[in-house]
Amino acid sequence: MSEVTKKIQEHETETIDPGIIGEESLPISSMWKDILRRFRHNRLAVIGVFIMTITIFMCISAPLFTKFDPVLDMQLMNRLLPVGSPEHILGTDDLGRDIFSRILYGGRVSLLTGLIVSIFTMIIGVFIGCISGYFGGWLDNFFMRIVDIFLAFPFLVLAIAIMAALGPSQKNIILTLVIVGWPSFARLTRGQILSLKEKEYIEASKASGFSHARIMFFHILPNALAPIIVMATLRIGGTIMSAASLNFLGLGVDSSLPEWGVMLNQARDYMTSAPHLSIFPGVAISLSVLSMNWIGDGLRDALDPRMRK
Amino acid sequence: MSDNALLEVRDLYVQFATPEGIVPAVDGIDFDIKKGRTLAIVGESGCGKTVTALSLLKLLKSPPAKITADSIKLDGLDIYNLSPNEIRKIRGKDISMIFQEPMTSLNPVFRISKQMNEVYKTHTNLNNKQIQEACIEALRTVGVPEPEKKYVAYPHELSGGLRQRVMIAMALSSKPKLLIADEPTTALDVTVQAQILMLLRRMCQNSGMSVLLITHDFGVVADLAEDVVVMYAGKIVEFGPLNTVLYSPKHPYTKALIDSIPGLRVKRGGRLNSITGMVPNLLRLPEGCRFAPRCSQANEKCTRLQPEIEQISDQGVACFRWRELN
Repeated sequence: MSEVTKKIQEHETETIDPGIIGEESLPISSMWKDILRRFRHNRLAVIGVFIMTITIFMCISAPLFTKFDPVLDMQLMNRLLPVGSPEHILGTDDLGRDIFSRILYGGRVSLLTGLIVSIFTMIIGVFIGCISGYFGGWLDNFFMRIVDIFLAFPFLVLAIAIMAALGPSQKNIILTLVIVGWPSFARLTRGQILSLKEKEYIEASKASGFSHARIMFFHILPNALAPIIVMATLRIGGTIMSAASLNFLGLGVDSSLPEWGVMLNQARDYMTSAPHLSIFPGVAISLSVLSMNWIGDGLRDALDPRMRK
Repeated sequence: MSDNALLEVRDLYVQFATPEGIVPAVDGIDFDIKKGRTLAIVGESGCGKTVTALSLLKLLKSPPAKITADSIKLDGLDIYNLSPNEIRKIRGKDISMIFQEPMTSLNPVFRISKQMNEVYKTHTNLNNKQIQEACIEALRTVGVPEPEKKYVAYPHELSGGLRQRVMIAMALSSKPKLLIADEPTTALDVTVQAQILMLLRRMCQNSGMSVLLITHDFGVVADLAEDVVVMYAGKIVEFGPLNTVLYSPKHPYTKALIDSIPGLRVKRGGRLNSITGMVPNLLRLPEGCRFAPRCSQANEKCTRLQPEIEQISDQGVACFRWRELN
């Protein structure tokens, strides 16, 4: 090739090729920043976070707010004190235990149960859902039929049956709720994976020679995370409620242990004479479930890219 | 066909089992890609171009797809008989692929950096810092402006042309022996198409790799390819070096294709031809030559018997009548 033609070619490539016309860089805002911004615009979600933060803080640092032990400080002279008593702001229960302190300590159990159950159901459900959706075939059939069996039972009936078999304890409540809860996660995840695995970027990652596990968990799953996170958040609220229900039915923890459902159960006898015994644990359950649901709703809106403006 | 072939495909069949019957998407084709050269597979939609490309890497889901071949050899290594795990190691390393849709070929939830790093991590043994430098360098090579900035961007922040450049950079990162480009410019607008084609040409010249180009656009073929294979309804109808095929096509289908684009055989002011009829349904293929129902030159023999490929020096043509017609 002569010098001249070379020059001409170089000139051609230089003048036309780097001309990336009109491709100025856009302001880069990260995905999470966007999500946070949208989340903050949702008033209820922010209120939910606010309530949840205060609740969690007060439950964790319960000894700072109350000097009474929720179990041991029984003062039989001070039974059923009304709301606003000098030492006991929310009154006392039938054994003279401080209700405020029982609610704070009880919150530890309830919230922790909600969180643990939610995390474990998510892990198990997502794992099985991923494998099911990605590989399909007999594996998918096998897992999904199991899921069908679980979902065919009414939730509480199944939970009661398992609780009855395992025996009463908070650990068993957690175990039961995990056993009952994972199938809906598996189904949700599977559905997401099924639609995502046909995407071009997944084909592209297959063509790049990545392993199945890598594609499944690092390429497909992150795209499916939004609904999973939403479901997990909503599940925390639901679990608090379910755990309280099981405890209310007397299937759960020892009745001396503070737990919101247990407290409600004990308060039944005094419904008319001392309604504050049932009102406050009830309010605690409602508030925390409600705020978790608001957070979940807010997350759903924030994570949905179609809502982007 | 020749000794210096990088990829030799012999008697490749791809069939899809559908409820209506078995669809022979690729029906016994042979082709070679020579070292350092670009081979284009041209044809209408549904003629089996993409399926051919995907079957080389066994990227077709089977079932329903069933791939059979005498042999598929990459640089002497028989990749047809490799286990799924071994073929996975070839993908992205020895054979890379660029897809048609740059808009959807990048994972929307990760930054470019993460997606590029992953490819490097899988196929090279550089450390993190070297990988980052290599990525930014690769982005610069493919003509991404402000590569440092684009490196940390999300795919939705890039235009289609830029995304295709990123895809090319990723595909070339492992210095593959063969690059499969499946309609790399179809989804892009014309000015960006020209840039991407120029980029691809520059990249293959510099790296000396072979390219398998899948396209329906003779303009792209004329721009990039050195050898051409024309496919019709799952079979090869003609192959040869670019200039031979472009300027003295032997098969009536190739002629008709070329006559339907301005500027090659049809001169300014002339009338462009169109091929009448439709691509045959692969479930109900004609008995004889597959092009016969649409061929203006077909005679009774064409509708009865299937023509074999006949080789004339380095050109090949599957037609009974090519001699009388030229």
